[in-house]
Amino acid sequence: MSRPIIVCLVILILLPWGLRSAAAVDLRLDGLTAEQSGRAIFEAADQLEDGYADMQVDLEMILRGRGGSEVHRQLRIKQLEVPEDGDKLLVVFDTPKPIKGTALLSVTHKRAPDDQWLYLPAMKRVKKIASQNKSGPFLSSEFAYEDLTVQEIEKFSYRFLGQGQANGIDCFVVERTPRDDFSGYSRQQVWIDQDELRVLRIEYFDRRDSLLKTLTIDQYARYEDQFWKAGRMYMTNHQTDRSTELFWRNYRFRTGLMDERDFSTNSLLRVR
Amino acid sequence: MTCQGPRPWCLAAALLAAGGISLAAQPASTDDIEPSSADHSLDLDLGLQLRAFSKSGLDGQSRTQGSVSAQLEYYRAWNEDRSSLTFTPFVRVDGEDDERTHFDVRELFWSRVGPDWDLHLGAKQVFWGVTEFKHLVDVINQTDLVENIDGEDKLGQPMAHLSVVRDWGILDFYLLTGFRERTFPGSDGRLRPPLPVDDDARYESGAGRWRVDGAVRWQRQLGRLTLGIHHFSGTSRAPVLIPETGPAGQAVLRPFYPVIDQTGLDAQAIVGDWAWKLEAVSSSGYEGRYSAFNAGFERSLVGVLGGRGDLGLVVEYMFDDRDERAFDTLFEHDLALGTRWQMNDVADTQALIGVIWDVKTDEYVVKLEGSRRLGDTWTLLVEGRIFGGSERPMPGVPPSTDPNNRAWPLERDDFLQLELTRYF
Repeated sequence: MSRPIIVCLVILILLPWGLRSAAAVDLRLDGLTAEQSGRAIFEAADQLEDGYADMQVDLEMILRGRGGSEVHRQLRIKQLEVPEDGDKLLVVFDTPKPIKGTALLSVTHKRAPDDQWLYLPAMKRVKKIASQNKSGPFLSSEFAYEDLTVQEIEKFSYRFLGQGQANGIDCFVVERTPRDDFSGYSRQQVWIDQDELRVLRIEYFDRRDSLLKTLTIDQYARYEDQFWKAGRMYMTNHQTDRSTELFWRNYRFRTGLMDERDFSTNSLLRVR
Repeated sequence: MTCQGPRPWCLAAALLAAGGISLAAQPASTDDIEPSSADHSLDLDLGLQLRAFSKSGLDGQSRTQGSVSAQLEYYRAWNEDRSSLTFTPFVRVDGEDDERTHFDVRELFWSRVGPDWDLHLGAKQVFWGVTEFKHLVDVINQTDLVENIDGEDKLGQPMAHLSVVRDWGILDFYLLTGFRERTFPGSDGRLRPPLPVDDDARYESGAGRWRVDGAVRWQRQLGRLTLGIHHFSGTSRAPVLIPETGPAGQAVLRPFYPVIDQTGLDAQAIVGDWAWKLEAVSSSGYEGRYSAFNAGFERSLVGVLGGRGDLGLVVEYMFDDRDERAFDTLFEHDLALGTRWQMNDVADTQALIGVIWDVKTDEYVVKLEGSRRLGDTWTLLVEGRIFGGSERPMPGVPPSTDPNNRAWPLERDDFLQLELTRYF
């Protein structure tokens, strides 16, 4: 379970961060082209994420197969904001029991490839791992690594499509096209609510441009009077009839995590 | 059913019974189970292992070997997780080999964590290195060889370990004492040298197992390169096995542990889907200084098996300038090729097939490993080896001194092993 787990985890964790309060953001779309408007919406959403310092959250992952089978995974996540570069992320697996204590440390970079280390408790071994192919499944879920990774603005081109509704909430609808040739998608259609700039829905189109997956995000709550965080994400794969549900619980902010103590490879060796 | 004594089959029956009971009592949903804050935890895993060999041993040892094992891990943290205690005892009871029936304290240590340092006191396990087929630089812990001939199972090593994290890398200091002798299969065991290894080891150091050994390691990330440099000064973890006459007049191999100074390097550079790896050491050795390295790459191919699976290719070349005089390894000029499949299914199914081939003598080892989870609390591990390519020894020449058939004693030890583990 080594590489998929690692890359995906990183991504999973950072995904909800893309969505922040619009209160502090002055978003003006007048006089912009569709491309400029789309990008402006994502840039505004991105800014709302700044200043969280550190965060801890528990994640439950439920994988559902076609036959009604269900697999649960429990993870703990710690994240550190690094203003001048990408954020740092530590993911620890609690269940299923045979993989308990396995952990992933991801150090993302804005302009260089991310660094990722996997800790294998049976051998006490920390293993640096190659960047995963971003289109591969994360932890055998319906999320691909690229669905969960940091959604840097520069990684897409944008087109504002208009207004729409998701979950009964008025949204901007923006199409974004991955610039990376290794992406598994030709394009994505994203619904962002107009008041708070939270992502509520994403439709993913495969390389043949047919609808592959739909992600719905809800149970948002606001923390520290500032950060909107999702409580639930639900990904349905229309081509396989499989789905993955993520529950984010027990968000804690500004808990005093420290770079050297909590996000070095030494911290992987201490994971329990 | 009555169980008398620690017979593996009784333990196995108890294990299976316990597994059955707990499976039946499993809650239908785990929705209400929250991850613990990990202030303390107690975990237990119980294993049942069966081995089948292609032939009986050189001395008529059994073709089958069954054993059971248990490992407990107790962890307690306090002082806002800055202090902690870890205790991990392990025991195996083997139906054939008395030497493989053994107990070890894998870990029993106290830790204190500072803002940019860690201090650990007690018996601990430390892994160094980057390569897959051989672990040259990994010198802190003794190998628990009766567990597995791949050398990846280790005995707990008493130590004081200080690690400091700085901008210029991580620096680790180790003081080690209470030397652990390597475990060897007994006369009824398999995968062993042709002569039994005597328990009464000898040391070069007058302090014997209480010599205080030291090690220091610096590691750093430099862009795509991960670099580690170490120096170890102390009693070699690898013994020289010297043929002698035992107390009852029988031929035995007596372990002798020399004192060595070893300097080494481990490096890994990740470029796209390629991971380039190097481990190299220079050691004062037993009969003069020698050098050895292990270099290669691992290439990842994603989505090759029905779109969801990953395939990894591992190629490594192992070199030791002592050639056939290298007493502690069979891999002195060997090429290793391996493929690792990962299905990315919910059972975490994976498999590894590897071949290590001696390019000079044509000796080879085929290695097979596969594993998957069965439900949430069981795992099944399949492991196998095929040894071949050695020439039959000349009459009167001990295999260990004939360069063309150093692996010959293992050629009757081709095996397939199944291991079922239940996690509590």
